[in-house]
Amino acid sequence: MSEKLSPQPENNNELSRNAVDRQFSDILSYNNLDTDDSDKQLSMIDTDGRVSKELAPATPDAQGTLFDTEGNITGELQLETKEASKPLSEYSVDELRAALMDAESRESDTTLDQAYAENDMRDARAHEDTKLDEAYAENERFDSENIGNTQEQVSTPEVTDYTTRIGNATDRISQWLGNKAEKYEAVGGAKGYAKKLLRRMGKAAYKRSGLEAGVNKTRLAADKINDFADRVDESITNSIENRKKNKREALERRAQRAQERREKEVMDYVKSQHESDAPTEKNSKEKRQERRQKANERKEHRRSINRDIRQARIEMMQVYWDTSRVKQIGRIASRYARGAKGAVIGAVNGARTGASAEMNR
Amino acid sequence: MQDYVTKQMLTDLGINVSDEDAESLLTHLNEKIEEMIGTEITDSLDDTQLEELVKLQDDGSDDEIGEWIAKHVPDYQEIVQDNIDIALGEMVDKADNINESVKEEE
Repeated sequence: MSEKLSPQPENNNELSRNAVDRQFSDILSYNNLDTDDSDKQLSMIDTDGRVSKELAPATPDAQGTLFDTEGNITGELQLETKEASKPLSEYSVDELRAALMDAESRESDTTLDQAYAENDMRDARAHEDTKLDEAYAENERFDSENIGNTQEQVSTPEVTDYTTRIGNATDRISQWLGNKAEKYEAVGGAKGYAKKLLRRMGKAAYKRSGLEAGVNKTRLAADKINDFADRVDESITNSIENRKKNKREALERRAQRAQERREKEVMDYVKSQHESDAPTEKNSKEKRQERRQKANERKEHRRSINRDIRQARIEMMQVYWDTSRVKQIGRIASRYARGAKGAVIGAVNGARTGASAEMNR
Repeated sequence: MQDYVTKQMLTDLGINVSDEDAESLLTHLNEKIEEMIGTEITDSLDDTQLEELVKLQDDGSDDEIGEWIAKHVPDYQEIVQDNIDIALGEMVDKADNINESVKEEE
């Protein structure tokens, strides 16, 4: 009881205050009827109807709303008590005790009820949290499945990209049909014909795969083909769920194949780049050597020609010198000189002859 | 045209169509399957191989084309089977829609 009456600053809720209010409304007006010292509960109220000092709050801060620093019931409560109370003289001791116990039990019940309520609320919140967690988890599962599906559709497009894939394939085929396109007007031009070729490829591959034999229940010798044919037989009798499962697995395998093809294309490209780089370097070196060699050859050839020309000139000059008109002129001059000398000699001789004859005459 | 999907298969999958409707539906489905297989085979070929195959289609027989595919597309069997499975799976997914469409037309 004393603990219940002790001021509890944190416990200022209405229920507790009302309970205490009810409890004290009778006790205060009782004016310390209980004279039994052994009854600690009632002895805590002094003869003036005030709560004993023991129960007074130790500090003003701790007083709460029920007591002041002197241990008096606060004015508010006193006022309420006065209004709610009836003359104490009208109460018997038993009635007061009963009222007190009733108040105590009511408070206890209320506290319990409150505790239960809080507990229920906690449980409810926990339950709600669990539900929410489950809902969130479910949502996440749903989202992840949807994302998975979306990714699957993106990476292994079936319905949405079917037209695009067919379009790409027919475009690629069309480029090899080239100017033959006019030939295929009857089947929708080059693209129409390309589509026809796609179907022919599909049909031919199907026939070649041995699946046709499987459908016709013809068992083939090769184990691999047999296994494959079994898959077809099985697929025909598959349940709807199995077909859905088959589809998912087939989409995954197709996506895997597409991925492998893309990787191969990249590797081939990288490889081709690497290979084309190496010969280029090699070629350029060889070509440089070739060019240098050819240049040297041309240079040597030119030098050789020049040498020949010079030699030819020298030889020509020698020949010219040997047979030149200079020599001829020299010979002529020499002849003339010899002629002139003869003429002079002749003239001298003639003159000598004439002079001698004259003298002789 | 090859029947990859038959009327009986439609019935097994819960698609209830009249013989008349079944014929056009099956024609569409089976052509689609062939196109899907052809498309993936085309995807798996490089330009040089595709040019060769296109030329072969002009002159060669179905068996020759089949041989060529078997030689140049190692996983062609899986391609064929997977595309059939995908097409059938799609049909299962759309079974309700197909049935509704048929009812509306009736």
